Amino acid sequence: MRMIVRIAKTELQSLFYSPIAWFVLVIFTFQCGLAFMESFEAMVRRQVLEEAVLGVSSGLFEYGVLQSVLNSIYLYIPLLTMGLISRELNSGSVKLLYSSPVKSRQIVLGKFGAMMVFGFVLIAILGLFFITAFLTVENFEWLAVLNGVLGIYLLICVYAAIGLFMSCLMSYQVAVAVCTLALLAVLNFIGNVGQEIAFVREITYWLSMSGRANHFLQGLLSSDDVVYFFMVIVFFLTLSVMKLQSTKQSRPWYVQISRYGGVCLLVICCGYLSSRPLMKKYYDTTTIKKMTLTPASQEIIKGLDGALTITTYVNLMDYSYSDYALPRLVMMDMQRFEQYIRFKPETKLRYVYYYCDIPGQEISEKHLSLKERARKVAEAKGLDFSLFLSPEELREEVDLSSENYTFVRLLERENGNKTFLRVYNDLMKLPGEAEISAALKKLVGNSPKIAFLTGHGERDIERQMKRDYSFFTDNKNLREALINQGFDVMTLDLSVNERIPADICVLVIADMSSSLSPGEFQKIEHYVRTGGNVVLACEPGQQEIMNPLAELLGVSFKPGYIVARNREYLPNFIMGNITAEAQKLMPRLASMAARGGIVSVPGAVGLYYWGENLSTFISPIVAGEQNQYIPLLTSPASGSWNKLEKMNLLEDSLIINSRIGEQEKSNTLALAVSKKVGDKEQRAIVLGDADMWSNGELNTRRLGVSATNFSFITECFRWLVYEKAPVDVSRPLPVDNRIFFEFESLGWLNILFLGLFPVTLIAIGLRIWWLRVRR
Amino acid sequence: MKETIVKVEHLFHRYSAQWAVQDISFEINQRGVMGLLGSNGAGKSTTMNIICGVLNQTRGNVYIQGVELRKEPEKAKMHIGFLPQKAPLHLDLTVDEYLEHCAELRMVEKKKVKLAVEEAKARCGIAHFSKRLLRNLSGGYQQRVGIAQAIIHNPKFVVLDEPTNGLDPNQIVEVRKLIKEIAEERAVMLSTHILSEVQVTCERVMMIEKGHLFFSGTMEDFDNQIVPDTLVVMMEQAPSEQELLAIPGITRVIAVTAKKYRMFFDEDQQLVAQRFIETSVAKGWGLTEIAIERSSLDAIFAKLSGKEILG
Repeated sequence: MRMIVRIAKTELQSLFYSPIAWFVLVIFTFQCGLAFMESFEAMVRRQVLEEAVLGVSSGLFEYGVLQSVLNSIYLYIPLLTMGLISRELNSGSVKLLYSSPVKSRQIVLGKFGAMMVFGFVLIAILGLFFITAFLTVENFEWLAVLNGVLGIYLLICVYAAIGLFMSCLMSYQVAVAVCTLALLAVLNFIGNVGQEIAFVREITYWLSMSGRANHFLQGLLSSDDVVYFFMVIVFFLTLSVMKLQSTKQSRPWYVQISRYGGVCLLVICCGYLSSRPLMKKYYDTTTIKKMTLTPASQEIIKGLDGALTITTYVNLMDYSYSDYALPRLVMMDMQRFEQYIRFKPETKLRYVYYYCDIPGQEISEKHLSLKERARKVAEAKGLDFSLFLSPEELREEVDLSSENYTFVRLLERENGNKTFLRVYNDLMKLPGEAEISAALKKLVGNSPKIAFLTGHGERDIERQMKRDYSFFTDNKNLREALINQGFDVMTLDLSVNERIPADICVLVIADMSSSLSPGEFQKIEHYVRTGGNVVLACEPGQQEIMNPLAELLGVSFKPGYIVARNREYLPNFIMGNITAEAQKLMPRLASMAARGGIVSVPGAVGLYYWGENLSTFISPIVAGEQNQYIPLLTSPASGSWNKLEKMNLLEDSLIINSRIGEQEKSNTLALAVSKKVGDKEQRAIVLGDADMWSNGELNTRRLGVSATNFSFITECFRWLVYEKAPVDVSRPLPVDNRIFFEFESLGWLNILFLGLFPVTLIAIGLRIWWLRVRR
Repeated sequence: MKETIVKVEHLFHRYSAQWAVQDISFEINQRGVMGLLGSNGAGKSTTMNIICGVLNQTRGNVYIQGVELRKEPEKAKMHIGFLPQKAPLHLDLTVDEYLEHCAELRMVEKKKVKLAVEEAKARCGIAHFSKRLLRNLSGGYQQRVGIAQAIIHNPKFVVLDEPTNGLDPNQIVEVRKLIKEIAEERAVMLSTHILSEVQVTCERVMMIEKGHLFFSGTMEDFDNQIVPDTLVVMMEQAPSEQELLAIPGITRVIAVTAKKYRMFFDEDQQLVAQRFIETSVAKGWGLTEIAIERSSLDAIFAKLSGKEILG
């Protein structure tokens, strides 16, 4: 140990007596100061403007100082390491070491130790910013920031080990620095090498340094990353020791090669083992656990006992999505499930490649057979065609016709439960935590079932017409669709079903155009009276048909239709305001309402309900006093009323006919009803307009109208199924949202970090240099 | 019985395909300076590097104080001080800093480091340069620092690889003197390709050429190998060559100039010289100068390595 310390000490003396170390320190300090002050100033400024600043710590460090260091540290370290051994080789002073009772190991560790100390000095400079943030930021995320600093320090050590090794190889320092940079580039790039070959891809992907330090910066401490950095350091230090020994020893070439090969093999084996999911350990250093699955997702995974296989089916002819999991990108694709595998390490990821025409997709070069076209595509993409199954071979494994042969994953449990996880036609394309967790929840088997009544001209979940309900229910390519958010949807025809199945969670009856038969009515009445959850949606003109059902809930659809004065649209287009009660009942709607979001309602009837207006509405069969009514949407209080007479919406002028009882006032357009039935709380939603959930309305954009119909649907169903779906993947807000620092004092901080500190370092460096050269 | 300080057995070393050292064996078992003589590229530095553990031999064994260098390098190296051809200096350190570094590398006890540094400096005459940067010292003093680092741990065996190389004549004289002083307490091995250096400095000598050891012995043995020496004489009244050949012991006479002759002899040089002087006085040849001339280095190299003497 004494020898190592001695060598390190002399190395540090040489380092600090040379201008290069001081040069690096000054530039490093200045650069960090710049990055810190930039984010610090921006946040203080935003605070002055009373804008929200969320997650100050990560703003200052993860995206500020540490990111800036991460981006440039590879330039500094080679400058320091280039002379470590090469200087000794060049000057012949290495013979002093060789002829002394010193082991090669001690030489290498001594030199590396010096670089570790220098790394500490760099980290101490980061400490200045850490302390500043510690003193000024509310609930400073010090642990997460320290984790980031640890990442930077390990990275410095890795670069130093690599630089040290390169320094052993050559005596020309500039060549050493250049080669070190080249090797660092190789280590960043190697993750792309050999990705087409199954076993090689895991090794090269593990070898890649790219992104590793970022995990630390984000606050995640994973054993895989720590082992990686540690192994790389050990690897290059071992190579350095062997290189130094080899200059003193003459061994046959095959012995040399097998020694180097043995070390490589050992490191790769250790690395490979450490990257196995079962061996990985994680620690999320952030207070709000932002690098970990939400508790809801974790809970779902806990319920998934037994094996889980995720098979990704990639169709070569699926031009839109196939690239996500082609062989060369498989490792990257696997990373998308890393957080799930963290909690279920035995998860198996499979990839099946096939070719098949996609119904509806245009086929070019029709004169070629499918196989010929597929082969052409594979060649153009540089893929091995033998990897791809033919449509027949695929059919033997799985039937993907329901998924239209697009990119899809099949989640399969040991007990045989299966579900699809899809890609979506939006900007993000790939499923996020909400969708993956929803799919996994389906595997557990208790996803809420939503039944849509058919047989009376209701809105259909399979038809694609404007009035139908297929878009939000069964649209496989839509992220927000119920089937992709953990619901099961089905149709229910009461003429063939004896009774309403008990496992149905919500029954949707939307806009019947003909009345129910007495038998059917009885079945529904029984369902409602025994506490079944229900959605009733009416359209102007259908009140009579829908009212018998509505009255079961103590609600009635008013005669007539709601109109509103507006310049841009027809009078029957209403902007439904999300009520304060609704925002309380469905808190996620609050932020939308706050931003001016409304629900667009094209042609609605008003709703009477028990307690709203007893004088005009007393239902003979209602037990309404036990019900709790919460208006969800209302029409505007001024300029809107319930129109009782028919009119030509395009041509007639819009006047309030008070003679027949029309009165300018706000009307309820949607209503939540709840009631205690036995142990259960029955929940129902009554809509005065079936169109607000229709395919047509959900796909309509109106200028100046910020419609949030989709969120409204999602939140209604969330409430109806007692929050069992969609999976709640929302996270708490960061806790460090304030900087206690006066805007006026920013100038002083600038002077300190960008002036005083760097200048002091320059002065110390110059002083030392001056004192030494004169000796 | 004298203890064996260094023992080298059948040393071989090969750089890729070429043998640099072949079957060299010797022992050093007394104090004093041992000269390692050889022309450039003869294998001197390779041999020294191997003995000092800087280079690992292809074959053969080296024992330092009875410790096998290959098996226990750290233990063996504790007894070695080495000054390579180019002094292994850290030019950006001061003399003190550098020597402290060397002392610690050479396992001098922590408490005794300062003392060791002072002693080495005093011995090498650099005590007044303690705080000077090595970079700012002259070549001669840098070489002294180089020697100081080699003796700082008071080793039993010091190896100096061409220590006077690149020094000016005054510095050479000083360094040779220093080496002799150092050798009073330990065995010193000194390599050089300058014969006079060996003659002035060494008590024993080994000669290497093309990787082979040609000669190993005392300086006296070495000098004996240099016969035949010649007598060079200058006379005012020079006689004929026949008259000179008539003197017993003189075998051959070469006229260098009209007054100057080189004479070869086959008897004791003192005796022959005495006879010549007596004859010269008796016959009035007017002897003005007489000198014994020894063989040149080239000639010795050539002789010992089996080459013809040219010219």
